[in-house]
Amino acid sequence: MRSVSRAPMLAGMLLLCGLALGAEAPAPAAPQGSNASSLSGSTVVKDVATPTAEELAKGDPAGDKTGTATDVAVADPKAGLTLADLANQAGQNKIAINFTWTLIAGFLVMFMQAGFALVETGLCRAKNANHTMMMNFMVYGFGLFAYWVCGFAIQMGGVGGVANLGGTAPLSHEFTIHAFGKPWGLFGTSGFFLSGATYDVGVMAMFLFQMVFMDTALTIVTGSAAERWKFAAFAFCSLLMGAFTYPLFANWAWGGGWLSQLGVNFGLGHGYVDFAGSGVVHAVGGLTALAAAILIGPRIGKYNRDGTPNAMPGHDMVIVLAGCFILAFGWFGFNPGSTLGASGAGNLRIASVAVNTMLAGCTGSFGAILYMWIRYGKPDASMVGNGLLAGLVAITAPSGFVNTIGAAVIGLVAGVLVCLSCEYFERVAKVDDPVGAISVHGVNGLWGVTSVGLFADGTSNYGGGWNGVNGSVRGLFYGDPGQLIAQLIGVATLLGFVFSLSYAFNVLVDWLVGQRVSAETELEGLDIPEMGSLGYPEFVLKMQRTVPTASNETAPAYGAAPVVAPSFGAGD
Amino acid sequence: MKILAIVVAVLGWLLPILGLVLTASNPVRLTLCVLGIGLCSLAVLGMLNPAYVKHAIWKA
Repeated sequence: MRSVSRAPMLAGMLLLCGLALGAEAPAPAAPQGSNASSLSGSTVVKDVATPTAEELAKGDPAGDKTGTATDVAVADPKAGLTLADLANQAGQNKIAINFTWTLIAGFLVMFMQAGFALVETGLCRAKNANHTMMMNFMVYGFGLFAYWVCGFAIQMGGVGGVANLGGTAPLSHEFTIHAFGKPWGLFGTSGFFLSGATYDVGVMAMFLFQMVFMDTALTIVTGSAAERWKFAAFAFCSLLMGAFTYPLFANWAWGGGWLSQLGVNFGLGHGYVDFAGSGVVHAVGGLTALAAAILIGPRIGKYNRDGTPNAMPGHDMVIVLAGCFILAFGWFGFNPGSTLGASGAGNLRIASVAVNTMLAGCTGSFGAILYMWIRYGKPDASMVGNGLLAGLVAITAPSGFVNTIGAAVIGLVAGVLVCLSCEYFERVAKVDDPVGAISVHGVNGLWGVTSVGLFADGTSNYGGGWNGVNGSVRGLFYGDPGQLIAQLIGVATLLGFVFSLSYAFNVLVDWLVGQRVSAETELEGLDIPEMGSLGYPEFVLKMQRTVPTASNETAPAYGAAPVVAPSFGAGD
Repeated sequence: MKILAIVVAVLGWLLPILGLVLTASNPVRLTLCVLGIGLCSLAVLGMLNPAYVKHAIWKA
């Protein structure tokens, strides 16, 4: 995410080709012996050639007569166009470009909710389609509400001015404790309900962009707990996560909190660096998913009495892969959009960020397809899709700081890592994760955070510094071991604090409403008992009995023939 | 065991932070980070998860 350093004010942008300058008031006297003449804001700009009314009346097919000096807002019509007007317009244009970029990128990220919905629903069984889709649909509303009430304030209330968005001056209250001679920012305290001074256009742009990121973290959890999670429990967990869990860590990383200040306070690189949220979004979501999956327990029929797992394939691989494409498209808003601007302060690096994102997703799918093909003889579609997503997750943190070779390597490792992790959690840890959310987002989120500390190459320049430390971010391979240490402190914080807090909230929700549906509900399918209607009401679902087979004992459950799977039929 | 697991996880988080304030040596800080991450992982996967798997639904 953007650093909070202030960009230098506009200077020297006022001289345009073809302008003849005249002064309404006498210019100040030039220094003795000097031929220099000075300009002031009140200097009137004269003799600017603009199209006449007759020329405009003929139309402008080439577009070279539309948008001229006459479109510049003039503060004093009597005085005419002045240098101050031009300077103000340049400033407004810069901020408008950045607003437009940030908002459109945010709209793309919002659309990723549809991608997540398709991926998760497709990887679950048909009898749970309505329920799974509804969780992904309503997480948008629950998360947004909690974030509007208090989450945004906790996360960004003390971030200070973000120059790309015109300053965001009202976000200037951070609760800080002082210990061991250092300030430790913990959470923000301005921006509740976006009221008062935070009713501000810059704050609004920031809120929208941050909100869609928060919602991405929340929706991750619905995948790991799918097919046996009560809708009420999902609602409470989403509210808690949107109000507290996510904003707390996000404040520490992006809101000026203590993690981001590890460089300033302890000389560790540029502090914890996370360009677009491998840690803040994906690891937080993935680790919360792990906490939920551990507490809720595996689906009925997932494991035999001897602990061997059974494959439970999803009901629609078509929408899974279509969903992966939607996510890959939305990621062009996720990563490049995290510059919060496309004008000034090194923001043109958005092109590099976008290419890094594409590459890592590509090599992520390569890593997964090669692993599955070599190991199991087939290029498993669901794992290849997860490989693409793993690459995208892993590149999210380093995307603004690495070159294309680093991006390709990061993605390739992620593609293999997600396969290994899925196998581990299914077979060794015996944690049931229907969609692989823990492996895609949790494990590869942590890998992405770590990779910043390894691969950041020191060529980026976002306004001269990051997190209050001058210079470019560089990792261990480019000479800064301190950066790796800062990243690993972030990893420890995610594992030790975020997981623990998420687990505690899940225990609370379990005590309040109960997390898991009854066995009868689970076996019937959650659509009717929880939602009141089927996702596919025109199809009759035929259930096969769960039967341990010899193949379960010798062949990996991964990619094995399903033993519990609804199948579409015309009705018996 | 579950509460103990969470306590160990939190201690694993605090270990690298303690390293920040106790020393300026990067090798020591790096070591404490790795140890802390290991402790957190042990707590979650080696203590908390087995406590739940012990009474898993498929063992009923």
